[in-house]
Amino acid sequence: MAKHSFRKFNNTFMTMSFLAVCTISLFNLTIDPLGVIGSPSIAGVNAIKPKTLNNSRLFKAVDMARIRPKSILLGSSRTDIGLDPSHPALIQPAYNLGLTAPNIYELRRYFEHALTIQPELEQVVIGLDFQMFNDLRTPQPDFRDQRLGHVGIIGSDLLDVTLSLDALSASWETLLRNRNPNLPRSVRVNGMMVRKPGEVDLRVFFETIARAQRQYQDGVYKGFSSYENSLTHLEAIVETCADRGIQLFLFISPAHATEWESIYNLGLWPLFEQWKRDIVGLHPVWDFSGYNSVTSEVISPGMIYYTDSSHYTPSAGQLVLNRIFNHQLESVPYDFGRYLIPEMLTFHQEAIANERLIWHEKQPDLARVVADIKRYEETRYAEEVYPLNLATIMQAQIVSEEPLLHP
Amino acid sequence: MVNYLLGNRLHEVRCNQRLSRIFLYFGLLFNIGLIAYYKYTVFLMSWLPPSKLSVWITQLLHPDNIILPLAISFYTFQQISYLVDAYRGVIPNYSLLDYSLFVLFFPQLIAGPIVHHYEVIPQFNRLRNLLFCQKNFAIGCIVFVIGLSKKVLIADSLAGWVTLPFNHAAELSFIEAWTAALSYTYQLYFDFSGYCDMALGLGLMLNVKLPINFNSPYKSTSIVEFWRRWHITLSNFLRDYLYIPLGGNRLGESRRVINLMITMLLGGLWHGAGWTYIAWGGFHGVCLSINHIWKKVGFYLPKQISWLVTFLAVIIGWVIFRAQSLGDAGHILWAMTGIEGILLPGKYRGLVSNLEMFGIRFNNFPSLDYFPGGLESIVILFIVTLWVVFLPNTQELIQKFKPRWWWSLLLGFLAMLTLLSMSRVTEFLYFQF
Repeated sequence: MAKHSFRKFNNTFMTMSFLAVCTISLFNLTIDPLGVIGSPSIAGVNAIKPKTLNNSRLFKAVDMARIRPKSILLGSSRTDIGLDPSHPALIQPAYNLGLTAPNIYELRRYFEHALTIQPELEQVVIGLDFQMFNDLRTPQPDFRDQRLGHVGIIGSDLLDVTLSLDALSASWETLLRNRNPNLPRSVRVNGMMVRKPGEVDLRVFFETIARAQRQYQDGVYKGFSSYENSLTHLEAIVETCADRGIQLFLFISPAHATEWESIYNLGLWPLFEQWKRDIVGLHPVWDFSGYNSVTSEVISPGMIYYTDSSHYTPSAGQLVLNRIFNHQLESVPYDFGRYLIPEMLTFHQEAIANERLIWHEKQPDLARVVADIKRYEETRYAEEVYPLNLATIMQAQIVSEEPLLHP
Repeated sequence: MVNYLLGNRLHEVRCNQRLSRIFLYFGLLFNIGLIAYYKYTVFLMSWLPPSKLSVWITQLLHPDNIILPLAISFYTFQQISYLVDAYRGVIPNYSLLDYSLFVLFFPQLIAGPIVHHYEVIPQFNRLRNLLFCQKNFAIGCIVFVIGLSKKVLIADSLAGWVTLPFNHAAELSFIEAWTAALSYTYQLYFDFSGYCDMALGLGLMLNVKLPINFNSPYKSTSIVEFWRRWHITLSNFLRDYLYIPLGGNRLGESRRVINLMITMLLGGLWHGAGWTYIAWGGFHGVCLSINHIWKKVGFYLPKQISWLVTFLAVIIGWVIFRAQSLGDAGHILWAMTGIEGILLPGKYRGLVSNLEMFGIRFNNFPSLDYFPGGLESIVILFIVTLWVVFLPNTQELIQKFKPRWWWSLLLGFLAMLTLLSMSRVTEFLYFQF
């Protein structure tokens, strides 16, 4: 009798576990919250996929095989948010392959991945960020080398997206989101994160400056003194493009002036300028950095070009692509974007230094606030300084009549 | 193979004491030499002053290329005990197959328990054990699933609160140091007890009963009791093959202390090649010695106080064990004393502002950078403390097991939750750059 009971117990346990595994897998496969399985998209069930917003490395690797783009836009989250792959100057189909906080090695691997899947690749646009080149930076935890270089999803990723609590919660969240009649704040279109236009939250803006400055102590810029190894990855991309006859466009992302001021205040400016010199030695670069009319946009809730000090909007992205591709040049401010070649580099760097002085004259309060953030960050009195920043900057806006650098 | 042949030779020549002693010493040297090479070469080389000799040794041994064989610490001890028992003449003649199975029996190979040949080899040959047993399988499943869930759901989650603060030991404040120390104390508890349960459960599914290795150690009210409850098979091994051969407590109190210290220092070194492990072993040696002396002079504390003192000693031990260097351990322990001031997150100022009268300061995020769990971690660590002190352990739970449908439901749910927690979709969590 007892033996029979144990048998029943084992059978019940095994059957239940098996059925539960099958049900959960089937649910996750049907909802496909990351869009990597290729399940049919059903309105009200899984057509909107909010979880793709934070999983760019996984879903974009798989997405490449579906789109097989002729043009790719590579870069960090700045590219991810700011560059529209439907821009008329791009050879279609184009895909936004921006990744969150990558290093240059990751970009190289995704470029090679794209090339393996689409040997007919014709155009590559890369948004370069200085911090990508910190030799001490390692790939992000969600980067997996083995998922690149072939079509389809690899076994371990498949396991993760079918049999994990994360996948289950992602599916559930996707289902709930699709039942909600309001449109989501952000969606993915051809890889790009398209955000609903909205007011800029000034607190977020200043927190981004502060966070960026913390990155120099603990994050992406920590111990940044060398980029030699990173440069070899860019060199490999440049060489491959040259060998294959692929058009390559490099540009330095147009972060807000406060971002450049942070780099300046933290003593990284000479390294930054040397870095420019070295990348220009490999390939001409469009430089949107510095204190030009777009990057010096006055900080206010109604900003056109920035969502925070680091990320530019698609409006700024449009100007970037217009400048690079000589498209509707009349829409681009004259000082936005410099074509860097080795012979002209010193001239441009001096020009940026002059623009910085002008910016200081026109925006002394803002310059002081940025410096204050650095000082306060160092002494770790963050909470006290943010309200001060907000008050100061509001005051500064009222006092300054018309910022000359604004377009 | 070498150990098996040596064991056989020892069995054959056990009447010739001189010869058998030579074989035993050779065997010990062989095993200890192997583990020393694989596990301690880099550590031992760090002691050498830079010289031609050290360069020559580096070129000879290539310490950077040494890959530690899986589970060498565990099977080395098992084989040493086998050789010593062969020398003592207390083993029968095992077949090579039985012996190999004993050493490589997968449920216990990686994380123990350190089993004695007489505990398992006879079980391999019992005919009944070759038949599938529903009862053993059911109980094995339960023990395995409980063990796996302890490891995956609790230990691995707590690990997230441990790495960051221990990597920034010098910068920790009072509360960060305490949560880090407690998180690690419980991470290790659930990790190790999880492994022990898994080994026991797997063994049981195959009808092999492995020895119990873990018995609610944090319920101990003395360090002596702690070592009877924590890694029981290691304690037994060290007692039988090191402490007692050294003379144990038979040669007076001072020799007992010396023997205890030697045993625990070596026990510490066995856990890993580093000064922190040796210091941890030494610390436990000192605690055990004090405990024995207290007992000897008849000094007793109330039970609750004894538990608290023991638990504090265990936590201090784990901080030394986990820290990346002795300096780091010192920093964390110093911060834990609160002498440098007690800093609490500013957002709790409203709740317990009266504490400011007692010199407790409140600071604002991000000043508490190494407090990854926040208030949540304090609540969870408190619950876990109650758990490890008051709740029954796996063995006690199994006693209550009846093959009822709700047990299978509970177990199925736990198994599912654990399985789903084993893989994860790694997200990019903060949105910057």
